[in-house]
Amino acid sequence: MDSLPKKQVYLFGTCLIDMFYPQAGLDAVALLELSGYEAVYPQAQTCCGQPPYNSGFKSPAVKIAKQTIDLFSTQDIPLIVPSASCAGMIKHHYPTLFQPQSLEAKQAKQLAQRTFELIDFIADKLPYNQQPLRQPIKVALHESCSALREMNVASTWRHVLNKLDNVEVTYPENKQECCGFGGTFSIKSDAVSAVMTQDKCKNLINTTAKQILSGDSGCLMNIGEHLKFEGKKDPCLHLASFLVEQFGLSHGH
Amino acid sequence: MVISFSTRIKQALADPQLRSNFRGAMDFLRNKRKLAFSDENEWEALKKQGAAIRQDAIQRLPELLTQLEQQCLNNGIQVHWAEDGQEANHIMLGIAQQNQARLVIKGKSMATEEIELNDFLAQHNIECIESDMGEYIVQLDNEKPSHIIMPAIHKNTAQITELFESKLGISTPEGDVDALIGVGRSILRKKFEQADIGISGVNFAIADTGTLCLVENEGNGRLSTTAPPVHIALMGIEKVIPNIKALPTLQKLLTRSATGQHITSYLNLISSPRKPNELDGPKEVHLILLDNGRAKISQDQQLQSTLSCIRCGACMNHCPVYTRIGGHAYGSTYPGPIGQILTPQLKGLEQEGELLDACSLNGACGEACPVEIDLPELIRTLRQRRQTADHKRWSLEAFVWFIWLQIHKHPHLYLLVTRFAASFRALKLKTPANWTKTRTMPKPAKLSLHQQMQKLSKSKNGGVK
Amino acid sequence: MNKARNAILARLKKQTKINLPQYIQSTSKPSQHLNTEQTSALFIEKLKENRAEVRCVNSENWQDALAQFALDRKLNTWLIGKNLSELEKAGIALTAASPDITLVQYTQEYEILKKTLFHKVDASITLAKAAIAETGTLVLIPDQNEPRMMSLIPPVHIVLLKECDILNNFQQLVNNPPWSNQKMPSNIVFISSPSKTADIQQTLAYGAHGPKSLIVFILS
Repeated sequence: MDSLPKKQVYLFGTCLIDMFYPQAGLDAVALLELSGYEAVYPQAQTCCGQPPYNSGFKSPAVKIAKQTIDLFSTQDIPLIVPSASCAGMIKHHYPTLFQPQSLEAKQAKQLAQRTFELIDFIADKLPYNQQPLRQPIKVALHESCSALREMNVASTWRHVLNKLDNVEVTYPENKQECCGFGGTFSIKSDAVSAVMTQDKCKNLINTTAKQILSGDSGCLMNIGEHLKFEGKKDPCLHLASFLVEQFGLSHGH
Repeated sequence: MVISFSTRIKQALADPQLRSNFRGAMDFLRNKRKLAFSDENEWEALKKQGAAIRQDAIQRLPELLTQLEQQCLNNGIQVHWAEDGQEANHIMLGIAQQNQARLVIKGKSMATEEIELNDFLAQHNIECIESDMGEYIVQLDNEKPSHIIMPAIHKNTAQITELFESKLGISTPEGDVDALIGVGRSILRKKFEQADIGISGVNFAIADTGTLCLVENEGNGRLSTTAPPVHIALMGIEKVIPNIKALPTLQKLLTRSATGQHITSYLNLISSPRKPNELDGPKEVHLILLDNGRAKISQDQQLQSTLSCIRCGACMNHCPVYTRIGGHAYGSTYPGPIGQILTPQLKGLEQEGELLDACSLNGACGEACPVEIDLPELIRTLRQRRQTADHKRWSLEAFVWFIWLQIHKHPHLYLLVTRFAASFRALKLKTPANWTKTRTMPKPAKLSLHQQMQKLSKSKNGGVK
Repeated sequence: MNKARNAILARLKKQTKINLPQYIQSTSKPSQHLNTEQTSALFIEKLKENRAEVRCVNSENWQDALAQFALDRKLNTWLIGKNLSELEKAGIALTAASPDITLVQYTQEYEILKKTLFHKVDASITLAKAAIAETGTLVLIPDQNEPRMMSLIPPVHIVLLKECDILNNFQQLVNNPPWSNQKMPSNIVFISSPSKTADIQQTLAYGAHGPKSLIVFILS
């Protein structure tokens, strides 16, 4: 296997994963490798710019976007993002940040076309028949708003989990409802955010699943830290990390 | 004393009855709508068509409104133009005074709520009674509607039973909705008989035939616009459509989105007052075309799509924030996502911009919109406008994002800062407190992904990438 | 007012035009092509779903059916229009059914008949010009013979409809309407069920302000 040169893809780690959940990033690398890809990780990457953008501060977002586009345009290879939210920013919003017909807009479109959410990218490439025997496990899948509506990859997440015979997938009641994170929403509109988070956590706990999975670290952070605040264990796990376990890979190299 | 939006939110969240009423109602309405649009392909085709019809109409407003006016006049409908609510109210008053009207009965019209017609008429000693059951209930309790389709959605049967007892002195058996409706029917029937003027809204106005289209289930709309000798219809200028061929698509989208019905009990097409040989119908029909900020919105390329709205209520039914705080918390005629977009544009970003904060940009509203208005994008755009509009207020947050930009623009600085996790604390002010009220703080990893990837590439290649 | 009109139009004309995707005029997917039988069946199904009652009759028996209906429901005061042969026949059948049954012909202005309409009339019968199967909808065009209030004030409303006038869908109807777009009738009303409301805790209740019962006699 090692002798075959792997195809290269860019990995955009995302700032949350970089700072708080690097394991998910490493697991993304491992999964890409399993699927036949070598992850290229430019060290100069920082953030996709969504936080200021959503808050109405377009100018800093545009500057960061330009930088990010340049960074990932050295090679014409897919850009893989282990977050539907950040992937959505790059794929759907970057092209709208620049003057139509401008060079930047063209570059943004070019990058958008080869930007993929991680699970969506590897869904049809994972060697499912090589999955080692694993203990049955019941999981709850949190389909993030970005996965559901912006990137349209929620069904792919379901599909991938359903292909694992030992995995039973459950969903919280009102699964289509936002978990309450919404980035700066959780700070600026903290009262409503808190209630939404409480409801989401309650519904997830009610599934009696052993683990709560999602492809978005923001949601997992929101849910996990709230459960911990309530004195419960944090059962949240990024889909990438879960799949690494299910495919018998080791976390980190 | 004005209660702030954030206080109203907290009050709503602390009200278990409100929470329960809205939860039940929104779940109910969402499920009904889902059933009505169960055919995915049909939904996609219908909303594309609906979006195209509405966008085209908005782009041709001067032409269509002129045509509508001409056709209405040909049909015998009198047409008035009102630049703002005050003008519209005065036009109504003028017509009322000409007819020595003492009692006005209203069908259902959010536009009349927008211009605060009832209060205005009351100031001039003209009684204005709501005839839509939900509106009647809300009026009885001296409240404003909390939803644009189901005005009394914030009340449950028990609360309404109690209201009828205390305000009307009429007792009905516990939980007997039919009895309550019966009470409303008999009281309002008398009013239909007596009213001097009937006032309605307009769901759509057909330009090439001069026809007003009204949808309803109760029959009060038809009674209000047929029984009194004078009918006044108030319409936002954006409600015009080019021809009757556009009606089926829009009707389907409206009723299915609003209540999950494939069609309402009644769809009423009014093209003229009572003709010479006819025996009933109003002798005078007036159409008031209301601007009140809409023309200004049409000038704005980014915000123009606000006017595509057909007032179905689907956005608020799907909004997780609206579901939890209810309609009154927004403090405006139009609540929920469309309210957050419309109200700052009609009343000013400075006064009403705060409404824009109560949104997590989850996108459920845009997904449900039957005319494909990109509601989240409009909220984002308005947040941008708000930021540039009021430099003084926003300088603090602008500064915060300026710092954020410096950190994220310079990879070396970023690496330095993330190592000390300073960027999180640098956001100052409410930041950690609002988070830590209900969540623990996430712990920065010992080694960031940057660091681990660096180590990884070194061990692989013996060099730095 | 001219000032307002000019000001508003001037503001609207300052609009920024956006490039719009091609506007498709009235594409109605004509569902499946339904034959008359299927159309009728769908129409009846939808009516019943919406709590309207249906009687399938023919030119021979509809008058008896109407008379029987009046007797069964003890409806004695009937509001009826004028100058139409079907209405004449209906009137005859009703009065023949029982000496208790009286007709109120809508031959005077609403203002004069008001009290009778609101307080005396038990039921009315009108004709429908067309119907829409996909939603179970009747199309009424009130006029000097059958004024608007006929289908609105009485608590029970009977509609006489010819089966051959049932169309598949709404788009079909507006593409080829039984009225003139150049000379619009003063009022066209589409009726799909008895009057109802769900304004109280989303609980469906019938007979809000309009008729509580809607009965459709489909004439084959």
